[in-house]
Amino acid sequence: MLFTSNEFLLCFLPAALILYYVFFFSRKLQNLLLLIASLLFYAWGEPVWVLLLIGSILVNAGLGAGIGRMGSPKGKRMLLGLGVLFHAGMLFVLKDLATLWAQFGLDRYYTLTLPRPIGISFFTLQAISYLADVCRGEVKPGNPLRVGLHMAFFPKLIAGPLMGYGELDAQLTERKLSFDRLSVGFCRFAVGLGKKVLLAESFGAVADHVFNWTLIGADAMAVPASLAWLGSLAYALQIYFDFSGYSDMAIGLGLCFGFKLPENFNYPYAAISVTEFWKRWHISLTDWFRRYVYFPLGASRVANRDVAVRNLIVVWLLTGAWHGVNWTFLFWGLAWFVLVFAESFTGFQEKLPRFLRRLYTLLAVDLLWVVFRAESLFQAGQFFRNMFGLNENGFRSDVALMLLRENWLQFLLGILLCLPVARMLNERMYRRAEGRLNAIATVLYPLCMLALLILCVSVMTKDPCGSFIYFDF
Amino acid sequence: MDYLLKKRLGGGLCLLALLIFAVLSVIRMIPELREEASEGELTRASVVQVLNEELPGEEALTEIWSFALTALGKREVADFSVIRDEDGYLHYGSFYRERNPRLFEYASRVARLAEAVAPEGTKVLYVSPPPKYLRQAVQLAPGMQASDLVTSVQELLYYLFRMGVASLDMTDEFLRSDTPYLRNFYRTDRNWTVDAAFRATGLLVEKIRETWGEELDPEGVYTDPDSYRVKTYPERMLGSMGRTAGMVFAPPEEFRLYLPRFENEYLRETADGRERETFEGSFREALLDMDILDEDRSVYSRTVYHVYLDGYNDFDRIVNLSAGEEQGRRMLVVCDSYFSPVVAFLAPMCSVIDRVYNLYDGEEFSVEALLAENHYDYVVIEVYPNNLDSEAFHYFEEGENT
Repeated sequence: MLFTSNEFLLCFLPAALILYYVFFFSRKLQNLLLLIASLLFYAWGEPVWVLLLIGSILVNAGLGAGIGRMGSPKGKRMLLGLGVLFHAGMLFVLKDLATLWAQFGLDRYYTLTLPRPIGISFFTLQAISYLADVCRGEVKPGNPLRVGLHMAFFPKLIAGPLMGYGELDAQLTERKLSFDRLSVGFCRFAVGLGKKVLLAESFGAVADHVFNWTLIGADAMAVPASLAWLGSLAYALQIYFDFSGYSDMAIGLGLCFGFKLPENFNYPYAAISVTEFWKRWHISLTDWFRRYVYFPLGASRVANRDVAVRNLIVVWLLTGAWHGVNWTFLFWGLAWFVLVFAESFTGFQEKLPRFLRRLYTLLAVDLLWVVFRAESLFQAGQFFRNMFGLNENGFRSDVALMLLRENWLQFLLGILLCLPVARMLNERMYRRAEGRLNAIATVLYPLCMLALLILCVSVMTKDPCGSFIYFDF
Repeated sequence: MDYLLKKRLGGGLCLLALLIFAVLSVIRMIPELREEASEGELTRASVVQVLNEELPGEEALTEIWSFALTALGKREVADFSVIRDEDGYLHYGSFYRERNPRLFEYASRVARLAEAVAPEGTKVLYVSPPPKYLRQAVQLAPGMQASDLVTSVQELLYYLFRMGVASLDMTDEFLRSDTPYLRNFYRTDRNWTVDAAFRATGLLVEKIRETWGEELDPEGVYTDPDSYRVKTYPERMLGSMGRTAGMVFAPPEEFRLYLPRFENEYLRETADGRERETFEGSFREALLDMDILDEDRSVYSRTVYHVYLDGYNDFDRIVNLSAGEEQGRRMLVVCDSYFSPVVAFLAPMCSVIDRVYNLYDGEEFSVEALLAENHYDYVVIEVYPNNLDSEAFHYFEEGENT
């Protein structure tokens, strides 16, 4: 079920909220209700694969309990290895095997088509992190209900944010329900909805056109350099507003039910180095790889630099492969490794003026999003040729100007909201709660929120939203 | 002032609005869902469909969206599915035209049809109505690109010419007239106006006279605008493109209904899916669905252009009960909804008109079946340029060479 669908907004969410608050007297009943609601949420879109999710939860709870009871560290590690093999194997078979099969040209002999249960990449990482935390003794094994909610809590089930079991487990017993949390959460949800419906969808339409035109050939539709740059910018904005919009909705929904989910974004396009970008982009995934891959490998505190480089390569290749085993994602992961490696081992970016650092970071991010979005390395190559005028494609494009003119407000808002403008305003208001600005905002904010919600619903009614980009991973 | 007050007010207001909207939606859904359940057709997809169809205030939501489009100064709607030209007319957007490799095959099918009916003395005429978008007649903002099918139409007509099939391309005729080209179309719809359809009927009659020397309207009564009373319905026409964009972006426009001053009696039998209906009476009673023009009906409910012959049915047989022997032409018209008013205006000039929807793919009213069971003096084939695909040429497919 999509957060941006009418069935979620008008049926599932109101029913879940009402029932949840009806059971205010019992935290256990509320937790049980949340698990049932989460499984229903998943079953609505994946009626068969919900059984896989349930199975995965039960296996994970069983393995967690086993690790908890196991006396020897070796036994614990064996059970952990078994769990990782089970979850990663399932992820590989269902998500990547068919792609790999085709990549190696085996579909000439047999076409392998396998279903890809939505959200499998995310709940697999959740499951592995739980087992690892239990193995390390950082958390106590939970019962299936708790493990189930950790893996399947519906706001974060499909695309995160990823969170450690310990973070959620504490909240399963001790969480605060208040009107403040509910209202703040719902405002956050509405903002996320606006990001997705009003901004990401517009940028997505522009990006999709330009990327498709790159493939069909210049005789049907030429892509001058300005149009290609606009397409890459549109995609950079789309993926940010699509995913951060989703994360806002997830965090907002979490708050509505009294949970604090971790932040996933911190104005990544304001970063002044690639390393900093990854501290601000998809924070929960970066943390996951740091905690469960990079640190166990020894991180950079190893005997020699070769091992440190190897550790970096492993992390970035896994990060790329986690998105998919296509060459584009592997190349994308490798390219990030090269940049992060160059930054951490040479520190070249620190010698640049701040403006150039920002420009270099944005350029690197933008170019690598082209690889990420492309259907193949060939398309990415063609796109780059278009961007740099190497396809005899010229620079000026009426279509680019028209697309900008048609979406001028979206681009303006998109660029403004990428930067911490709203946060600065908020902080200023918070510091001067008695100020005139806060008084005006107190009157205007509720009206703007209501207008935003109504506008989103009207757009969704006329032009239903596509799926979220990260639902594909 | 409390910093969180605005969040409390905002969140509370939004939640309240959402809950009210949700309750209203569910109340509207329940009877439909009960019906689906009683018919054993309640599925996940049907629940979603009912929910989306029964949204309370759907038209108001469309207007809000339409207002937003207008306020942003947009010229495109729903990712360029509809675009607006500099004169305010809506067109289908398309950034490039894919070559249609089957045009030769479509022409071959028409030629095979003509060849098959020639021994019976049946004449075949292919009619290409003017497309709404014509590069030389429409001014678009720089970079904006509309679906331009002129070259496909010309290619098809060229093949027909080479195969010896008579054809009528109305585009040039409309371009040459004193009326500015776009005035022949509704702003909010792809269809031509009823005035243009009436004019096209005259062109068709003239073409038949020029090609085969036969007068469908020897006294010039039925093709004379003075023989018709024109009733004007201001702001009643909101075409399919207008309904997509909403009334603020594309305001409803005037609809002019042609009603004959002469008296004729008709019998019309229609078939659409499993439904069969019979209408008998005057032009108005037998050929028009005047309910569509009811002022109480929302302009969003249906395009009023479909007042003529319901827009389209799988099949219509129109028998002119007033026809004398000399008017006794029998005609088969294979067409889309674009041509419905033309078929209605042809009715007084023929004794029988069979009209089959060109996208109909059943057996009962297939072109082959109708030709086998009936003798026609004329077969008129009309395909709107946007419908130039295999679905619109469901006949004489044997010997396909593609």
